Amino acid sequence: MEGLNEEGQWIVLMGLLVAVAMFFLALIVNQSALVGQTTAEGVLEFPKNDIRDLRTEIFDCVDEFGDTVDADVKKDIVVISLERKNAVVDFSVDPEVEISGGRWLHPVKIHYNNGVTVYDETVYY
Amino acid sequence: MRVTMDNDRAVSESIGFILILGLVVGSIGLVTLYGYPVLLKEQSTTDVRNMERAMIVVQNDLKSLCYKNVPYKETSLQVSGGTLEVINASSAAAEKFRVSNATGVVAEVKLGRLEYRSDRENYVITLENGAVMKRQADQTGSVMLAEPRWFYDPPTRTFVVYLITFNTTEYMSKTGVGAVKMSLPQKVTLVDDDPGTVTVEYTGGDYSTAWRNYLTSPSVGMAETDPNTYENTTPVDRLVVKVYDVWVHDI
Repeated sequence: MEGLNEEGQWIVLMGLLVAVAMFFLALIVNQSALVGQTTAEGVLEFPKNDIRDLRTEIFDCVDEFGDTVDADVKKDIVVISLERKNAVVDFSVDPEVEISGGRWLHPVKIHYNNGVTVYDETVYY
Repeated sequence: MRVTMDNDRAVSESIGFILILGLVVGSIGLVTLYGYPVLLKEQSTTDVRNMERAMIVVQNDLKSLCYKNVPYKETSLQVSGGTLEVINASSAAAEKFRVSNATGVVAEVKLGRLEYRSDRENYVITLENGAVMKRQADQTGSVMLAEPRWFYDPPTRTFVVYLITFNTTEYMSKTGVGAVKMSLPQKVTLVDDDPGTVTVEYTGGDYSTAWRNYLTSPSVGMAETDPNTYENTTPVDRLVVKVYDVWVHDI
């Protein structure tokens, strides 16, 4: 055994290290697919545009009727939301109140629930 | 006095060879006997797990069809280690939901389902009424992997029930790579503005445990009054039942 050169042993050791590293990387990659899916679902499922559309409709309503929103118009908004967006919505418009700065605005309460996202807002319009 | 041990008299090359060969053959034998079955089991467990994910993907397609006004959806998926089949809503094996108000039956719907049966493992994974569920074949227990979207809205006291049926024109099953093609030709919305007590009844039995756990969970908030019969514990001013008839064209 005298003439044997052992200086190349680190190559074998590095091979072992790389193998161990690959094992853990594989574990992480396996998990990341799941995390990516749930995150993507979370973003996709949030009904941002549905809520925006609903707010726009309600504000148009307030522009038109003030705090005495026509019952049929309100019913239409509720029914159409349920039929097309599968969302239970409700809103109410109260008489104008004075807010800071001497502006008189309607407190508008908006409620939206589609089974995954529940959204409640009181906005002064 | 120094004793030299350089004596080769008991060293035999053939005995050494036999020892090494014996070790190698023995190791191969052990791996074949114990290692291979473990590998196979691991493979079928992976197949089942992949199918769980595939079913959740199909469930997402179903969500797009039903809740997002998409008329047609197609997903390719690989069915390995088992068989995927469609059970038609009109078949005798289909399970049933009956929704009633205080005066009578509002909707009675046979569901149909998409079902995967594993070959080696005893698992059955099912997509039924928008829920992905798993059970062991011929056992009473079952578990829900992904929930459907029934909900109760407390401020408006509205209870929303979704019923999704699977319909086919012919018997279909698949092993290997296939594409699940689904369309939604029609949906029906039933609104009841004074339902009184809402009762939901599930008949069929295979997934009664999963549905019990779901319907009595806080998100839906019902209580079991009779076996597989559930009533709302909170007052309902408005009952909304949406029935979706999904057609499966191919898997």
